Amino acid sequence: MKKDHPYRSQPAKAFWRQTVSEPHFLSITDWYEKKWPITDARISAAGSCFAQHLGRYLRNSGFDFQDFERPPVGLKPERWLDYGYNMYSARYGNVYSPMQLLQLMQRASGTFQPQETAWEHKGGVVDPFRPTIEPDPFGSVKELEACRESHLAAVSQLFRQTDLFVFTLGLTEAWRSKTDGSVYPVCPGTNGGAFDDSRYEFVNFNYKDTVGALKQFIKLARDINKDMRFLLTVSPVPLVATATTKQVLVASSYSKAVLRAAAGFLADTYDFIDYFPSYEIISSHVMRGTFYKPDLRDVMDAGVEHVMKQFFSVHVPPQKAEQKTPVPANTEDEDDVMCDEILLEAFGDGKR
Amino acid sequence: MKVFITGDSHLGCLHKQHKAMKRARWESGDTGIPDIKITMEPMGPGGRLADAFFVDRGNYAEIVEPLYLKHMTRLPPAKGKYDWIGLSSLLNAARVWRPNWSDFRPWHMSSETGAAISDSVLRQIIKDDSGQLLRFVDVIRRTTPVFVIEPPWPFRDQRAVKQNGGAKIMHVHRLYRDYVMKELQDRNVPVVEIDRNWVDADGYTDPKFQRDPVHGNAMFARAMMERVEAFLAAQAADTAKRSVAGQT
Repeated sequence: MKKDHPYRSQPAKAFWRQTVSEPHFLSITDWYEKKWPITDARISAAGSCFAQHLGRYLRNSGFDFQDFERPPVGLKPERWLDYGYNMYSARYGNVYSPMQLLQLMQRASGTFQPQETAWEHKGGVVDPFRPTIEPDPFGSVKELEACRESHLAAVSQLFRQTDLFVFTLGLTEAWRSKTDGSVYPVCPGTNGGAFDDSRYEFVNFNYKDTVGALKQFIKLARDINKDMRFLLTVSPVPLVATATTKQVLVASSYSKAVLRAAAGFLADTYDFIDYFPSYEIISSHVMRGTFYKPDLRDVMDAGVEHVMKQFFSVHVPPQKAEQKTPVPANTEDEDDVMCDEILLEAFGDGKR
Repeated sequence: MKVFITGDSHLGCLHKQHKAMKRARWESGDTGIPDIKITMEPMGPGGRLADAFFVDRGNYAEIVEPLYLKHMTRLPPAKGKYDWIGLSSLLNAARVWRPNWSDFRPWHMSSETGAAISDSVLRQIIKDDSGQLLRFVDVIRRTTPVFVIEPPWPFRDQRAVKQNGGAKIMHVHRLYRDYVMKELQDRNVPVVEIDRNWVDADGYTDPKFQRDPVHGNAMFARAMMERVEAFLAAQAADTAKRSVAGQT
């Protein structure tokens, strides 16, 4: 009788010694196997702050990365991030939890209208759902509402015109309204509003909550766009602080474990959901903390680059970055010519 | 009093008119305003004035933008001592309102097309656009008093008005002008302004002052040069008065 068992047919990547122990940790391969190509997909992204890097790399590598709230003409590129432009595919700022993502979509489609719509801050008002989207608060509730209406219209357009939605799960801890369940990206009182424990409560979403919110979001997204696919990742950036009674690293481990398990379950269950292990590539003990900054929380640029190197080794960037967005006609060049001419006419005779 | 005036393309018509006024005075035997000698040199088209077009060298600004280096290497000029330096480029908001704004609108203009942008974003755009020129003024002021000559307000047949809509253009123009005027006021930099009677109720410059869709014509330039001369004459008289009183 032949001695055989399932591990005999497993590839090399299934074995720790060959894949992890023996190579240098920067040479570890086979982190990820794609489910489908993404080269021709219109890609949008959201998530916790680590997701910004993913979006930036996709945008700069010639993928069809979508931006539904482009920066206004005249705003210098070095200001874009300060004002929430070019950060994700619309100006929602950081979306840390699946419940926040679900409510963003519901607000954009008009099926959820939070009772609290503005927080007072530094003499103005901020949007409770993106309180740091601009450095200064809005001057009035009217201004805030006009800008939010425009923003949510862009989000709505995003879900209609996206083939691949990339979401980086960041946190399970959140603050929500006791009145209507609105989930905020920050604790009320930290960047606007005032903390009041009769109005707000802390919540630490568990595995069931997380999977439930993601499934609901994905269902709604596919109701709008039936072929939409999803690429989930988990941010390797630990919690900056916990509101639980646990020590922050322990709380962070719980949070990441829940998110990782939820993403893994969904990717294993649905063929239109994939998981990319940016969390493991940075935070696994195998990497020896190499890619963390001295605070052991923030990820170095070299770490992001290493993550994206693994991603692009599988999803090879298109050969040539094409200009996907038509550039509108501009009157600038013509007027510059006109300005040159007028100076030449006035000063060109050499007699001043 | 020796005066040096420079700036963007709006200087062109001022220069031509200044020469014409001098010639006419010479032909009629009019000596003009005594003791005021104006020299005009262009920098170049205003398109690059929001970029780092100069380097602060302490007592002067060294021009580093190649487009402007064709005309000028530094300000104040190396040769000659000037009592005043005039700039025609500070209040020109066209760099901000001329590009295509069809995808954007100030938040309160709900009937206009495009995404709403906040007052704060617009203020930042204006601040960044005018920042280099205001820093340029700061460098020159260390050695020489500066005054500013206002260009014409937008003309109604500007291509950008048709492209972006007049309401957006005039809103940006007003915000830009208010911001820069306040910055100049805080620096005690006088401005030779246009006459409000030259613009209509919407703020567009009367077409009788128009050379092309962007620039003022000879009538505009003459009127502005008369204002510049009146301003300089007042400064000269003030200096003389203070000199008599032993204050200078």
